[in-house]
Amino acid sequence: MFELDQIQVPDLTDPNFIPFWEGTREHQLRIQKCCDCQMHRWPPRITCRSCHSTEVEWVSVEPKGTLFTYTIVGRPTAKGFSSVPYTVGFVTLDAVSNVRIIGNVVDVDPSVIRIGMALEGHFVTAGPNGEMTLIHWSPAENGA
Amino acid sequence: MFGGVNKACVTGVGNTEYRRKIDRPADVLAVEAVLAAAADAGIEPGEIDGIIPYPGHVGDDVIQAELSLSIRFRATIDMGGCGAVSGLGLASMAVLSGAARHVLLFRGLKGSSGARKADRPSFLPGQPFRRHLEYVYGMNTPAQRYAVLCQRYRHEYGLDRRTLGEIAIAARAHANLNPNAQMHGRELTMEEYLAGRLIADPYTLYDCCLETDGASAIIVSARNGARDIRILSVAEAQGVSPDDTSNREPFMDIGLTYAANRVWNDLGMGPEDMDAAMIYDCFTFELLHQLEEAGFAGHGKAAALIADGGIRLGGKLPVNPHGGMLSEAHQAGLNHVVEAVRQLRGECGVRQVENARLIAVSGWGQLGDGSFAVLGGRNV
Repeated sequence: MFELDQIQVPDLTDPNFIPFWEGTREHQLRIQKCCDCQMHRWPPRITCRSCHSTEVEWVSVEPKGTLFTYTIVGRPTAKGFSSVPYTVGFVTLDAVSNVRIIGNVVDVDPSVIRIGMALEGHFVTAGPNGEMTLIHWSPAENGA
Repeated sequence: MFGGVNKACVTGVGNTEYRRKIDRPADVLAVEAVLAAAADAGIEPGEIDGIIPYPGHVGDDVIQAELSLSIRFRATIDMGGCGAVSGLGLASMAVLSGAARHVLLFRGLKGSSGARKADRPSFLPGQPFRRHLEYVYGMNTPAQRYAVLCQRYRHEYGLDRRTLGEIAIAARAHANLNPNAQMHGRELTMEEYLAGRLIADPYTLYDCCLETDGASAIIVSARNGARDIRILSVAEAQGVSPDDTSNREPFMDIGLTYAANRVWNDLGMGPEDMDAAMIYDCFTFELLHQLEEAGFAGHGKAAALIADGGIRLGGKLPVNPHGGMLSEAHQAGLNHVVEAVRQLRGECGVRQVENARLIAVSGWGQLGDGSFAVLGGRNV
């Protein structure tokens, strides 16, 4: 449904995102965690919102979660997304409940998408030369 | 009672026609609106000595050069649609401190004939993470970013599409009383609303504000004359994680949540004291959302206020009698200030709010910025 090779590739050398993109290439979802207060955070930031520490590590988390909110896009607005409708959702991670990840919800008819549904992330190669690996979210195998 | 002479006032307002596809360029439109505002204030354009432009559009340099202004105070408010109301606060500080006597805020926009929204440069904060985390999933427009707020609200509180429809239809009914509204003369029915094409669920065509060619301007002065409208209190604030909605918690909190509280506390007034409200209606749900965050209705309760003509002229709280951004014009919120001033002067003819003495105005931009002001007429 997406033209994955036409999706515009961000600056993959941006230091704030290198660990994230390296992770997805290895089929890992990595997010930030404060080295001082241990709080996970997202999107990537220089400073911990809780304790203002700038010491940060990247940790792998299981790409499983539930749909927090979403929209079904009915009018094409971005390269690689000329085929509508498609769904963009915010996914609350099961392992880290204060982190939500933005992604496309796939393998499900938009009419039956509902908030709270269990989702599993999987890794998809995209960009004109396969430069980046995106995370798409599908209904979890075991339902819920 | 409130403020007396030591309050700044909006002394002049002006605007061009509002429509799609105006031939004249944005700077020509902006000059026209500024001249109209100066004339309305009863000052020579050359008396304007402070200027606050709208970033990314017609600049302060253009207006200064065209009108040969001697500027003593200049500031930029980079808060998108929040800036029109935030600007009332900044301009007030400027004129009350003596930094300037007459501060101009203006907008000159070619929203209708310019590039499509998704193709224009974005001034939203957080550009790096948007490119890495949002654009690659086909999320790159305001409608999409605000739709997720509405969808979550619907999940938590329930929301009938007809409630959003009434917001759009009320705006259109008001615009039909306003000959300068972009949508004047074009009725909107619930059937048409419900049949609108999908933009970003739950938003369809009529849930989204207009894109407009046109210009508007206001002048804030340290003057308190018979026609001047007092800026009684202004506040601005941001939501938690101001540049990002995805990880905001509480998710529905916005800058207005905090800004409105400050204004109510400052004035010792509440929502029930307002005769009307001008709410930044970029999308239908955002009007409902802001009515709740500003305290006009409890959380999950705004639908009851909106039902049965509650936000129409003659209703419990007339909202956006000019037609708002949904049906008058997109002026990044400045047309809401212009309308509040005209209403408080009693100049609005068939769309006049009866005995309007106090009007609240909201601004909202950049996903987290909120601003709120209460303006007062002579008889307050």
